[in-house]
Amino acid sequence: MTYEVVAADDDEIIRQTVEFKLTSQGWDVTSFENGRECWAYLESSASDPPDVVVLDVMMPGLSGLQVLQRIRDDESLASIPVLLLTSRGREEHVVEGFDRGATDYLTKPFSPTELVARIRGRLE
Amino acid sequence: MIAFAIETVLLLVAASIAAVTAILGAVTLAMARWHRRTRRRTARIRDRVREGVFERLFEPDPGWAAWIGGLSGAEREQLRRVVEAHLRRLRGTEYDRLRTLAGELGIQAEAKRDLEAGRNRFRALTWLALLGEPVAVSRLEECCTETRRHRAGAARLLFESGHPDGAAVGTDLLIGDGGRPLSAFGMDTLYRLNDGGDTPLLERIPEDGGAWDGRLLVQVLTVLRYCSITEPPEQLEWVPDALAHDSPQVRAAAVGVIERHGWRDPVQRWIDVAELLADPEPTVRYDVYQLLASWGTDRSAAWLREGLDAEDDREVLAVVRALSRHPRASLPDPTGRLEPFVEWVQADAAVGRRRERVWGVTAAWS
Repeated sequence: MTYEVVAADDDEIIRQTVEFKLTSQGWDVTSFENGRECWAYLESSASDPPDVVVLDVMMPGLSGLQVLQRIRDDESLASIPVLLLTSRGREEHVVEGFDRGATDYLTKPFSPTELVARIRGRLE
Repeated sequence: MIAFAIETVLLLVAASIAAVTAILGAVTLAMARWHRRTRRRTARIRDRVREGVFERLFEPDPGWAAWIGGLSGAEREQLRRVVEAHLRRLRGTEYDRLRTLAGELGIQAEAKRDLEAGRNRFRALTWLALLGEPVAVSRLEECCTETRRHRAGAARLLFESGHPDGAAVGTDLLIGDGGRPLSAFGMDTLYRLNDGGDTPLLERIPEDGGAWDGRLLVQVLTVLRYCSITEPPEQLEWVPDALAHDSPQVRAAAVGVIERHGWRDPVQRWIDVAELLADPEPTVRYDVYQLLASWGTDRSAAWLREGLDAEDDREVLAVVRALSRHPRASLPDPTGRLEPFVEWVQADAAVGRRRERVWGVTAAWS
């Protein structure tokens, strides 16, 4: 099964790793380096939304939490599973993320294999 | 005749300056072009190497040895950088495979040799910590207590390698530097060593805290504020002493500790709130208001409402802001004197502005 995944992280290395790992599963991945570009893409794809969104919490422009809020506030995007990537020790981001409707979260440093398993768990 | 000679000399000087300037300009341009070309070449090599890592990293058998056997010296150099960058960001299966790759590159062995020989010690500690490679405590105490940087590197290695006594030994390495303040890296390491499980800081503060530089005490209290503590509440019996410290930065940091860990009944009983609210330093009182908001009891709401009568406008704003966070209190009626404060706090909430207080950190690093 081919899924469409949107990922946003301002760390190039993490972005590339996520992109490579998810692409190696045969999934289509569109990635962005900030929340603003990611949200612009999601807004423009509201008629054909992605299957899952992976967001870094701390990003310039719009943070992952702000993008998440906008996704949940948008009727056509609200049901998309959203996974957050948070830094270790930022428990408040996890709490705020769940408050805003995050589906799941992973703590950085993270395991790409676990990321795939969590996405699969939500979609299959 | 003399005028002609002066003119000739001046012309010669001007020509020399022009020639030197032209040569320097040409050399600068040539060096800039060379650097740019080198940077581009290095970036191309790194991209190629990274691609090679990704092609193998997600395979059950990456076949590192065969691959790196065919790499040039420059490619191996860039590969080390790629490995380092990814070790910092990854965990799990991929981390284990990168660790194997580091082994094939001889990084662990080289770092241990360097540590033994006293060469590039911080670099060696960094690699060993990234790879979670254990080193005997006695060896670390022998080679890595000279500078604050080395102490922090050794403590980080103890944490990353999961040494059974890592929390206690690492904490002592960090704070045993004559009571001097920590670097940001040192603070982060202290947090990691004390978060959850053992929290040796809880013993070190009452034992040695009195002899520390005030900035270190603020740093330690700040770290403790963020740590999850599983120790019994009696371990926090020293906090009232810190709340009475001469330095307002220390008092504010101690309030931060209580804000985080004061949900335990015995801790709340040790605190004289009336005394805290009478602190001469406004920033300490503002932190006390946040503390009362986080306690979330009817009594703490009543204390906050008393603060609405303060004379200073900034103080009233701090109280209204705390009331807005209190789970059992509501904002006061926006009438009379309180109207602008309530409107301000409501406007803040409307735009989702987050006002995170980082307890004492500014003071600690200033």
